[in-house]
Parts: sequence; C-alpha cells; structure tokens
Amino acid sequence: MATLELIDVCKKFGASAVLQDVSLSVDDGEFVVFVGPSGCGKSTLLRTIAGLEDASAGLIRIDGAVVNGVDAAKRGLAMVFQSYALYPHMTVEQNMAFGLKLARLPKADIDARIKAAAEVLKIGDLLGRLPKTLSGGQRQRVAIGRAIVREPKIFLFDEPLSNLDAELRVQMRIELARLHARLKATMIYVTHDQVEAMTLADKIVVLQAGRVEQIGAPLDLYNRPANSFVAGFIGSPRMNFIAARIEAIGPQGVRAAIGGEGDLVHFAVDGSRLRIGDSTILGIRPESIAIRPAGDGETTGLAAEIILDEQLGSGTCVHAMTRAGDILVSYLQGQVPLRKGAAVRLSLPATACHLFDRDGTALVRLE
Amino acid sequence: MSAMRRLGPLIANLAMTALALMFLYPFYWLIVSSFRSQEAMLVNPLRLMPESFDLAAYTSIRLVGGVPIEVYSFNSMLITVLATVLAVATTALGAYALYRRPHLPGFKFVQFGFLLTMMYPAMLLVIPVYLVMFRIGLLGTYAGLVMFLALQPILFLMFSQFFRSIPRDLMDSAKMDGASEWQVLTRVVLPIAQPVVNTVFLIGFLLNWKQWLPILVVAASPDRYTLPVALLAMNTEYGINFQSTMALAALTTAPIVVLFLLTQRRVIGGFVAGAVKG
Amino acid sequence: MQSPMLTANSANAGALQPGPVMAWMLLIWQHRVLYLMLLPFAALTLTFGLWPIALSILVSFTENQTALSDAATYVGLENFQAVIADPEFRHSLSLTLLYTALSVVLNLSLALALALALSGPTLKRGATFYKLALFMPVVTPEVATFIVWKWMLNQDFGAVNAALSSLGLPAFAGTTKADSAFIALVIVELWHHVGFYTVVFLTNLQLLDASLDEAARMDGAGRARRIWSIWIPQLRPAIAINSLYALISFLKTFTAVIVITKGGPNFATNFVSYYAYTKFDLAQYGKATAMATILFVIVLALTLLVHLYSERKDYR
Ligand SMILES: Nc1ncnc2c1ncn2[C@@H]1O[C@H](COP(=O)(O)OP(=O)(O)OP(=O)(O)O)[C@@H](O)[C@H]1O
Ligand SMILES: [Mg+2]
Repeated sequence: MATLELIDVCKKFGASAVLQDVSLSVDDGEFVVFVGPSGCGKSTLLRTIAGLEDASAGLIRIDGAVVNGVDAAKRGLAMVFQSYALYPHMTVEQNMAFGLKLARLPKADIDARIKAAAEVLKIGDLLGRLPKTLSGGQRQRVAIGRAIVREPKIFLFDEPLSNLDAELRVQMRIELARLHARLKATMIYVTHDQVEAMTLADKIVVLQAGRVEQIGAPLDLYNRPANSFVAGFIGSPRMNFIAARIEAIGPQGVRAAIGGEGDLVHFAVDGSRLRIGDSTILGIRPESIAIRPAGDGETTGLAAEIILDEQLGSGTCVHAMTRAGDILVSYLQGQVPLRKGAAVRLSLPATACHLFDRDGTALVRLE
Repeated sequence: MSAMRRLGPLIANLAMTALALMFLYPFYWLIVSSFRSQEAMLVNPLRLMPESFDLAAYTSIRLVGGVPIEVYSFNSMLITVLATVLAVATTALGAYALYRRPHLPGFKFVQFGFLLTMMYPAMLLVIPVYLVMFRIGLLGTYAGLVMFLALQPILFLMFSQFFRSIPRDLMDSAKMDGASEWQVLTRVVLPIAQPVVNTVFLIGFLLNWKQWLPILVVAASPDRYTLPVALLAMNTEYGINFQSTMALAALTTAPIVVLFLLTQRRVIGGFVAGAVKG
Repeated sequence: MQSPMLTANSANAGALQPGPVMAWMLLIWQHRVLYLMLLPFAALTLTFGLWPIALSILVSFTENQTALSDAATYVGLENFQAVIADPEFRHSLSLTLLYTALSVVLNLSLALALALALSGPTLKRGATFYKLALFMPVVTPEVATFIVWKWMLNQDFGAVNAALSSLGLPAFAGTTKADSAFIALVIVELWHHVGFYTVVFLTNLQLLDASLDEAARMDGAGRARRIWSIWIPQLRPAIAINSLYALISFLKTFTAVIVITKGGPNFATNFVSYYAYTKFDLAQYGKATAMATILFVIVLALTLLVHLYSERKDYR
C-alpha cells in the first residue's frame, strides 16, 4: 500500500519559481510518468517528493501522512538516478546492501533480498565487482537492484535510461515494464522520451515551466489533449498546427477557414464559447491526414504540393505545402510512391481535427 | 641540421638543470655551511665539501637561549601535529557542511567571513589575536596556539574543491538509502575522500611547521617556542654566531625536506588543487 | 468527487503553513547535523578571524594610550589622518605597491615561461626533478631559508658575491644599499614563490583543450603563435587565480623583511606590514591598526577587481 498525494506544491530557488501549484494523486501500484521539455521542473518535482528538496509551499502526503519536513532518509522511498550514483568504493553487493545495513536488517534477510533481486535483474555474477568495472547497462541494473532490495513504498526514477544507447534503452524499458507488473509497486518515472512515457505509464503528467499541463492515461492524452502544448508534446511525428478562422457554429460542431483561400474544415467540437470570426488553431496528427494525388477532377480537400518525402520503410512522412504556405506533415503506412514536387490533395477528417482557442486551450470534443 | 636538432633539446635540458640546481643551491649551502667554521667560510665561500665534518655547531645548539633544543623540537612536533589534526577535522567538516547546503541561514556568512580572514594581513592579525587569547584565557597555552593555527585557508580550499568534484547524486543516493547526514559523510564521502584527507594532512603539516609569528607573539615564554621561532630569535638576538644559526636552520628544514621528497607528487598536486578557481 | 476533497485539503494546508520565523527555525532544526558540523570551523573563524579583525579595525579608531584598555578613547579618523600625513607611510605604501607590482609581474611571467617550457616534450625526462627543485622553496620554512639567503648575500663570505666575482662580474651590494636590498628581496621572494605559480600554470596547461591546438596546427600556426593565441587565452582562469594569490601574498610581504633587511637600509624595504609592525612595537596601536586597515582595504579592493575581471571574461 503506497499512495502519494501532492497538493499545491511550489518550489522556489531564490526568486525563480520552478514548481507552481502542482497537485497530483498517485494510487497504489500505479506507474506514473512525468514528461516535459528540458528544464520544466521534472527532476525538481521528483526530488521534492523524495525529500531531497524542501517544498516552498504545499503539502506532500505519502499513505495519507504529511511528509513535508520529513528527512529524505525517513520517507521510505527509493530513487534511481540518471547517473546511476553507485558508491564507487563498494562492490555491487555492498552497494545493494548499504541501505539495508543502515536499516539494521539481519544479515540473512539482506542476503536473501540481494539474491532475489540479483536473480530478477540477472546480475548474480556481478556481485563481487566494483562499479567502475561495469558497463552502463549493468550499472543501471545494479542501481535498480539497489532500489528493489529496499522494498520501498514508492520507486522514483529520474531518466534512468537516458545514458544508455538506443538498443539497450528499448530492452531496459521492457524489463522495467515487466518489473512493475511483477512487483506491483508504485512507481514514479521521469523522462523526456515520450515513447517511454506512452509505453510505461498508467498515468502521464505533462509539465511545462513548473506547471502541470495535463494529467491522464497515455491514450487520453493522445486523443484528448487539453491544450496545444500537450497536443504538440505527445505523439510523434508531432501534431500539425495551422491558423483557422471561425466561419460557422452549429450543434454538430464548427466550421473554420484555413489558409488564404478559405478552405473550410469541419470540427466536431463544442463551439458555444466561440464567436464567428474568432481566430483559433487547428491541430491534426500526421497519421490522420489522408493524402491523394491531385488531378482527375478532384475538388475536395486542400490542394498542396509535396516539398519533402521521408521514406522510412515502414512508413512515409510527407511534408506538403498548401497554397496558403502552411506546411502539413502527414504520415502514411508503408512505402507510398509520393515524391517531392507532386501535386496532392489533403483531407482532414472532422473527427480527427482538434481545435484550440487563442490561449491554446482545447475545445471540448463532441462524441 | 640534424645536429642542431639534437643540440637544441640538450641545451634546453642543460639550462633547466642549471636553473634547478640554482634553486636547490641554498639548501646545499645551508648544510655545508653548518659544518664549516666562520673562518673557513671567509676563505672560500663556495667550497662544495666541508673541510671536515665539524659538529661543533650542532653541539653548540644543545641549548638555545637557555632552552634545550629538544624542547623546541618537541614543541614543533606537538604544535604542528595537533594543529594539523584539528585543522583537518574542522575544515573537512566545515567545508563539507558549506558544500552540502550553501544556502542554509548563516552559512554564507561563515564562508564570507573565512574569505575575509584570508585577506587580512596575517602578521597584523596576530596582535589582536593576542588580545582575544588574553580575554578568553588561552594566552601562552598550547590549546590557544593550536586553535589559531588550525585556521588554514588553503586546506579549506582543497577540501571545497574536492567536495565539489563528488557527484551530488551520490550523496542524494545515500540519503535515499536511509543514511543520516552524518552517515553520508562517514560511510560515503570520507571513504572516497581518504587520499585527499591524507594529502591535506600532509600539506597542513608542512604549513604549520613553518609558522612562527603567531607562536612568537602568543607564546608566553621561550620554552613554548618552536624550531623556526627559536631560529628567528637566534637570528635577531644571538645573531652573530653564523655556524650555529646554520645548524639550527638545517635542523628546522631537514624534516620538511625529507617529508617533501618522500611525498612530492602528492604535495604538489594538493597545493595545485587548492589553487584551482573556486 | 475529487475537487471538494482538494479544496478541503488546501484549506488545511494553509493552516499548516508556518510563518517565516517558524520556517527558519524548522530549517535549522532539520539540518542540525550540518550546523553541528560547521560549528567548530565557524567558531574558529569567528574567534581567531573575524573577532580579531573587528578588534583591530576598532583599535584603529582609538587613541594609542588607551587603545588596549577597556575604556578606550575613540578619536574618529585621527589615526588615519596621522598615518596619511606621515611621509614615511606614504613612502612605505608606494614602496609596497611598487614591490607588489614588480613581484607579481616577474613571478607570473617567469612561472608562465617555466610552465610552457616544462609542458613541452623537450624537458619531459627531467620534469619531475625540475618541478621538485622549483617547489622545494615553497614548502620549506621561510624563516630558515631566508636566513640562509641573508647570509648568502653577505658581503664577506656570502656565496652570491663569491660566485659573481668568480665569474668576473661586479659585486652585488645585497642588503647594504637601498636599491640592492629592494632587489634582493624581490629575488629571494621570487625564489620562494615562483615554484607554486609554475606548478599551477603547468597543471592548467595539461588540462588544455588539445583539439584547439591541433586545429591551429592544421591552419599552419607556429609554436610561438599557438602559445600566444591558443594557449594563453585558455589559461586566463589560471592567470587570474595566480594573480590573486600573488597580489595577496606580496602586498603582505613580511617574513622576508623581518628576517633579511629589517626594513632597511634607510627604510628602503620598509613595507607597510613591516612599518605597521614596528609601530606596534612602539605601542602606537592606533596608528599600527590604521595602517593594517588601509592595507586590508587595498588587498580587498584589488582582489575584488581581479575577481570581477576574471568572472566577466570567463566563458567556460
Ligand atoms: N539547485 C538549484 N538552484 C537553482 N535553480 C535550480 C536548481 N535546480 C534546478 N534549478 C532550475 O529549476 C529548473 C528545473 O530544473 P529541473 O532539473 O527540475 O528540470 P528538468 O525538467 O529535470 O530538466 P531536464 O529534462 O533537463 O533534466 C531549471 O530551470 C533549473 O535551472
Ligand atoms: Mg532532470
């Protein structure tokens, strides 16, 4: 049983506010991922939860008890650092035993826990080695092992995989997911890699400039981003954004004109807060754009010209410029014979279009 | 052309060797002179070997200013070792605390105050220190001397520099493992710092051995003097006796030269570490 | 469901939020172990650093006779006025500044030259020995080595003149003439300090970015050119730190004076710290501490200047 609750947590370093009114609740056994651009305060938030930084304001509760002012050593959490932070003068075994020895656990228990963790992480034959003789992946396993043996209330991870090469990163990501399934422990994980976020998380917290932009399940964030920041941050390739002017508002949604010619696009969103003539932003994911060669008398859809085609093998990324000069990226499955210079027509399905008002807040979608 | 190419480095090495020997010459001259009489010196100041190993000077300094040389040596050893131990302990702890949480209330004040102390002309600080010692009743005591000498800027800078090189994550990691602040220091930082502590101790020893002014001023009587202070007293008061002065100077210098020769790599590295920007 | 709970909690949080004084005390209590660690060091700094400095500055505002008594008479800036009006002090101050400027420039340029020479491949074989020889004077007790120098500079049986005459060079007047005494101190202190600065430069040279040098070499830059436009700019932090150390130590030059020249001959080496010290001996405490304070302010100002300069220029 371990739950975590943050209520209006703020953190200031001198005059600069790094965290502002962060509220969040984490259920027992949940895997929560913090994502956001570099410098947005992810690490600071994690360290504040850990007790390595003191919150300037707000409450932090673990299992219902307020832990503000409780020393990091006494919160019963474990943290895995990006730099691994293994004690250089201790062997792998001593590294893992350190916290348990401090807690005065009996020797037999310590050995049993280390053995079990070593088995899970396949580091049994490294136990006698010093950290400097290990590879990056092995070090990361040891760092995770050091956290596991402590049987903490909550696991905290600060970009644990970002020092590993791409292949190892994928492998470790899968192992982490398995580990979570097996331990059923509460885990909080910081990353700026959205694939990690999408695949690992039960719940994603998107942060920007010290504020929570949105909290939700990965697909919720993908399908119903609360604002243009989240919409742009989640999903790869990135969502397209182009300016749109409201032309008509009705019960089925709104119509907005994009581009200079005033091509009309239909949105299945609640337009009651809008007025005719408002300028808004259209967002559409590259995989939602349908693209056809122009010609044969087609008049539906946006006329555009391909300015770049990226052949990825499994898919094709097509960059097309409309006559108004907007560039839309569309992603198509498989190998598509569309080449630079080709004239095409793009169609933007109403159900796939997101509409954001001038502040970037998403308009509620009609189901 | 190839002769030139071989000659260049040779000349450079010869020149550098000559310079190095010039730097070492005063030490050599000191030793040789301590075995030679004043008359012999007058005849040939540059002689490289003494005419005979005349130990007269060394026997003449059995008593300096009425105090046996053993007392000075003992004082030197005692004060140097105690001051260095105290200096290493206090500066290590102090520098560590200041490094761990530089923004805690009062910490900046201590750091800044310490830097100010570095800038004050030390020889003039000694007089007010005399007054302070008088007020707190430590005047003329070993304790007072040792505490004053324990304040060594370079040792502090060496520790600060080292602590800054330890990744912060390592200490945070120990905290997360349940270590108290004290355990972070003793179980993680100090084991890593062992070589640095040794170096700092060594340098503290070398520096405290040299000290003279505070001891001269604060010591109540000559039987608290250390070797350098006795030497200075000889230089001013009983100053005519050249040979004895050289003998005492040799005794004062020899332990340091030996220690330095044994540990030079570490000592030089340590001094430099204390002088890196920070 | 969740939002009413949240607001209830927020109200609760507001009530728990401690005031600034409480927060302060809580912080200190939380970090009491760190405070305990700092305590011995802080106590030493206060007792044997800040307190004496404050006392000494205080004394500079009191009258000589009563300076050290509990009922000191404060005379405002009188001591400072007297000191500044004293022609010997002005002479002493300009001597000190001249000596410092000369010594800083000589020490740093010799140290830089030696470090550049020692960092090259030519002198690699003997580098340990050379470094050791240069550094030996830094660690050995100055009182002893300065006494040796004093005797080596002796006219009758000193090694310096004997060596000069055996080489057919004119004699060096050593500590007997004003100019030569000044120069003698510069040389002796150069011998004492230069090894330190050399080793600092040397270490920094070894840390230089090799790729820049290689790039310049590819561009066809000669060694002298590379030293001047690639190495020295990168050494700026080392130059700053060395200047700082050198400034502080030469402005305060004292041991060499008291051992070798005693301020003479004819006040030619009567540097401020030594002059102030003699004023102490004459029980002119007010004047002595006024001089010390002036010197302190100069050290502080110059240090700050060097520091600001190096901060501004340090883009690394
Ligand atoms: N000790 C500190 N003192 C002052 N400012 C700090 C401190 N630690 C972090 N900051 C600032 O707080 C902001 C958030 O930093 P944080 O490390 O939490 O970002 P992050 O989201 O983890 O970024 P990254 O993805 O690069 O790791 C940054 O602007 C950083 O400069
Ligand atoms: Mg981070």
